[in-house]
Amino acid sequence: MSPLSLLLVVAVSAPALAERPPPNPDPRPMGPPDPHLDALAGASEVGDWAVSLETGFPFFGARGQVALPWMGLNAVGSVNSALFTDTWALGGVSRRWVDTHRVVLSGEILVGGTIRSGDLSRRGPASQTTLRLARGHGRIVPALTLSSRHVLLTDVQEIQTAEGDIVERSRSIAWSPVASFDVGVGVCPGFAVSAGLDVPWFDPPGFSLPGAHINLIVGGWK
Amino acid sequence: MSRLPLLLLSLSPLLGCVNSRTQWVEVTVTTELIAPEGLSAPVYGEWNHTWSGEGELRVPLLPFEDFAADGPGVVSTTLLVPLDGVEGLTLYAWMDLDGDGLHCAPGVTDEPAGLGEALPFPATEADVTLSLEAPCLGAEALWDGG
Repeated sequence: MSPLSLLLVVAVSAPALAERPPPNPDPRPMGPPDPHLDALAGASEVGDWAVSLETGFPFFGARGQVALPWMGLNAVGSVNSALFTDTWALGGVSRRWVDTHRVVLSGEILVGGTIRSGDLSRRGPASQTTLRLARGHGRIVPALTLSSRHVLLTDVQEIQTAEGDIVERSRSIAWSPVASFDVGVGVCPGFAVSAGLDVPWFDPPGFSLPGAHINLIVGGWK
Repeated sequence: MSRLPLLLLSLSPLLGCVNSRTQWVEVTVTTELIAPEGLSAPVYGEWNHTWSGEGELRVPLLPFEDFAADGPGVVSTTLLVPLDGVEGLTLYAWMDLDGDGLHCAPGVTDEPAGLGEALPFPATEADVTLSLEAPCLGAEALWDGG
């Protein structure tokens, strides 16, 4: 290639090279926090927090999360009730396991207790493990949540016999999975709403009615 | 039982650790079965809670355990009886004269039955005397209203 043609190639290709954006080490856009993404994804980025208030059928509740400065963990607190007869109070940690520009996958482990009133009353220490898959980052965030709830039930039998009283304990675990699908919409910076469907499964293999809910979500920087 | 486990056991309902607590009594019941003179055959029946349920759902004579004896005489039975939501212990029994295992099947009108309450209750030992003298009557017909 002659020097003249080489100069011509460089002159033509120079504007194109100049217009190419610099590589972005962080594919996530900068800007205000996405509280609906944070809440629906189940974990906030470092420095952020999110609180959601839920109302619907059968579930009512409140959930808060705040990012901790260690290992990407979030501290999570949750109070949730089905028709105010099956109430769960849980706390624990969550973490984003996958966070790309398109998808956020998080997991959380909560422990606490539950009380159910009525004819099928029960109570005991409880745990909940949850996987949340959300499509971010944008004004509209769809999200899928899969939760597995467990309750440790301890039943005590006190038996009076001629030889004296006997106390017997039996333990069992009750399992109740819940699946939810939400669509969250950012209303303004720091405020969002979401609506979703719930598919609870109380005490399998019995059938449970599906439900629906609306969330009000706020969040922001600490 | 030492004090600490007893204290934890007492506090556990408040802490939400105990799902349910039920009380039972193991009762040894001495039953005297009295049959009309000259009759002897196996006796079958059932143990009942004299009363069970609360409010409008309170009902008498709820069977919870089968009873069987080779014939008239004294029989000892050990029962595990709940103390929550039930009251009393009542035995209904009948004599199987024809050996068919059925009380007064069609065509049979002479199999005697009786009803008696075991006392005292609740207690770990109780007694009941049952006179088998009412042919083909069920427990409801023999119930005098408690």
